[in-house]
Amino acid sequence: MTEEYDVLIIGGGATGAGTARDCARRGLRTALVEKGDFAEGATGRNHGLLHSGARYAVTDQESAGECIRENMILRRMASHCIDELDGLFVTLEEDDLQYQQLFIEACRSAGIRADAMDPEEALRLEPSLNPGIKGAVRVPDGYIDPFRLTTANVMDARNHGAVFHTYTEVVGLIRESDRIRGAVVRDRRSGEKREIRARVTVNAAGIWGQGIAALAGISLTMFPAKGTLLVFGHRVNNMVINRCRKPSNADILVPGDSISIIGTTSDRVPYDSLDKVAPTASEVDLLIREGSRLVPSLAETRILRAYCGVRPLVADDSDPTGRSISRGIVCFDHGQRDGLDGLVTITGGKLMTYRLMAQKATDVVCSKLGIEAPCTTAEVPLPGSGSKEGLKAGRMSHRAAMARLGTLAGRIPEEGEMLCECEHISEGEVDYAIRELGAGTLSELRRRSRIGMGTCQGEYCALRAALRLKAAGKSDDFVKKDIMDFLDERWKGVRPVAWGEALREAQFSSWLYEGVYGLGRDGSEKEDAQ
Amino acid sequence: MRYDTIILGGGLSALVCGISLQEKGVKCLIVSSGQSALHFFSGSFELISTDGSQREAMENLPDGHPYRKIGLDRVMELSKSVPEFFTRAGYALSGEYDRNHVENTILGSQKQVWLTVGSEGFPPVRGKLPISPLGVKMQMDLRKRFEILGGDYLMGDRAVRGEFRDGRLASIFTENHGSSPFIADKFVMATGSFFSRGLVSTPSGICEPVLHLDVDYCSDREEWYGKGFFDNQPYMRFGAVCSDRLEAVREGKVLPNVYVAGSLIGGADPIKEGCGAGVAIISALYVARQILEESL
Repeated sequence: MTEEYDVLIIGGGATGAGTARDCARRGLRTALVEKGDFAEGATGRNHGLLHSGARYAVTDQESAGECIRENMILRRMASHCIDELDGLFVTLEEDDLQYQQLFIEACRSAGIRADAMDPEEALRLEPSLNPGIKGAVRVPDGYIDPFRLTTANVMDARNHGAVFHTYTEVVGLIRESDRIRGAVVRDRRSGEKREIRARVTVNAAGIWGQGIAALAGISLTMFPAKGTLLVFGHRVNNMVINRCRKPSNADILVPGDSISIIGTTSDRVPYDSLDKVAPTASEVDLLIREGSRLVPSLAETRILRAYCGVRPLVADDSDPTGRSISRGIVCFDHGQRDGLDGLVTITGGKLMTYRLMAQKATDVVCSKLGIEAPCTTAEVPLPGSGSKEGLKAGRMSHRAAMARLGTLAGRIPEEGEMLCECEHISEGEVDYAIRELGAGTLSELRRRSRIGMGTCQGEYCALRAALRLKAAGKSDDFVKKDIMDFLDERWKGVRPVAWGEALREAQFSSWLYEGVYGLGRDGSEKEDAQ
Repeated sequence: MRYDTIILGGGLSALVCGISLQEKGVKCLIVSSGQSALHFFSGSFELISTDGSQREAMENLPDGHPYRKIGLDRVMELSKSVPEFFTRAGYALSGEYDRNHVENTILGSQKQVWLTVGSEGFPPVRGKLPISPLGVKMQMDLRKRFEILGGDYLMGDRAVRGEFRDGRLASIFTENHGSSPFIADKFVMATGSFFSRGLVSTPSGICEPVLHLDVDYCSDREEWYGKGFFDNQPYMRFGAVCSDRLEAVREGKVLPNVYVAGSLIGGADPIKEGCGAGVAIISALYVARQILEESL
């Protein structure tokens, strides 16, 4: 059986989901394939920083301008995914205060509000700062939750008829003479292959886009720049804290939900190692050392985990670190670029500019298909970001749910047992994610509800959430294997920082899940066999 | 304050050791910071994980394992006395001292266990922290028995340092009692592993924080962990160095009046070997026996 669409989008990150939303809203029959889960790649592996654009103002006015315009749009369109914190760019003792003036001028010319303040005032606003700062500039930075953002885009696209296939990998492109007609995909769970035909195919696969282009015989050289980040055990700061200097390692600290995140590093990694990248001990040490220059208490704060993502930058062979490659948007119509019609690549850019990237890609798709419907994604709020009027907050967990889901919190019951104490997530919210957001595993539940992202890293909630999956019809064997996969995934991030309290917690988790509940890679099977 | 024996730690190992000594009239003090691993008790004790002979399974344990230090025959001999020990404390355990039986976990898996107190040890909790009511009750009952036998139990306090004289530990000081020393002939360190803060880890190393006993661990942090969560975790075997008589070692020298009991002893992997409760109970009984022999 062959499915036929107007547009097939490859990649379920923010850009792919945003493109699906835009296409579906403009009336296109839309399908999207994602090789894993939504937001599993770079979308979910960054700071969650709602950039003001200030970071790029000095080096890249174009990106800075895009950031501030999208920043203002997203505050309206994606309000339930955003925490309007504001940010500070601080000058440390060892930094040059003259850079501040250059920075402020560059911000202003890009249209970014930038207000200098004296160190005392900055410390009053943000007491966690290094008391030795020489100056600070306030800019409209914020926090944006990439998981909620992607989920809301998927939801809206679905409401407009788009079809989504996760765990579906593109293994070939259908080529008819000088035109791409869709893709050959493989269901990674069943192994089954099938064709999905489309009049236009959009490559929104992020860093994996190089491989998709290669399937079409097109050369697209990405520059895989790995960035590592650390999650701290509680919210250390109130505002986004940046270092007022040229972008470098470990100079942004973002508070989000119940935690704070420091990052990043930037190192080129070989393209064939993308699926194996992991944070290293020396990256962890560097992030703590540099981070505690900004906020001294970081040196003593418990670290929950380390993680890394790979930026989908388009290569410029003159820069070995990737720091100075433009974060600007790259949109290729391969009909024009390579004489191969029916294929569009949308890449580069940032989480911040995902909506604009989606708009650019959809504009190209529409012009190819002769469709004149205008883009509405800058005007129509995402599901959850509408008016909160009439929505009442009941218990603590329900108030927390409102902060996470916005108006969609009305869809979960106000009463109900607390399932995750770290993040105040109720059983009802987990059930909602299973029922309405298509979460079928604990890792999917984590991306849809934040379970397992807080202090205990899933120690208490994994079992309880697994019992909800069971209640929704999953088998005992599925649930057992899923808990093990989930704990393995959490451990990957804990291992690089497993000392002190994190090691205590890990030992307790082992004791609980292996010792008491009897799970184990060979253990449970072996014991079951008796 | 002066005691015959002071036990640091308030978990299963400390209580078994303290009760065994008080049963013979040795005046003991237990210093407990509060919650212990008993609060997360599954309802069953494990000696060693096997569906065959326990004694034979122990033959496969690595050198340096606490059972090997104690001696495998002696482990089985001490194991024989365990059901009766708990009967005296008011707990009728099911199961045989020298043979495992099977219990179901709440996830439907089956586990080979040694002696069972009750099957409802760890109910699937909804909306609460996973605490074992049975384990909490058992800790309270064992503490009560220890106190009825004449032992002193210092609750919610923590030993912070020791004072050494002539190569022996002379006294300890606690958080709540400041500069007043607690003096004893013998000391037992039953402060547990990382979870109970008997061991403390930092990015650069691992220490035993009260007496600064020698700890056996690999210096390269990357070597502490297994890749997968369910793989072997080398850190589980890290612990205090001790002699075959379970005497503690400090700065390379045996401390003749300080014993180590329970999961603070290095060399065992309580989870992979299924020996957590076994090491706690057997090492405590062994230490108590030696203290009794020496005080005759």
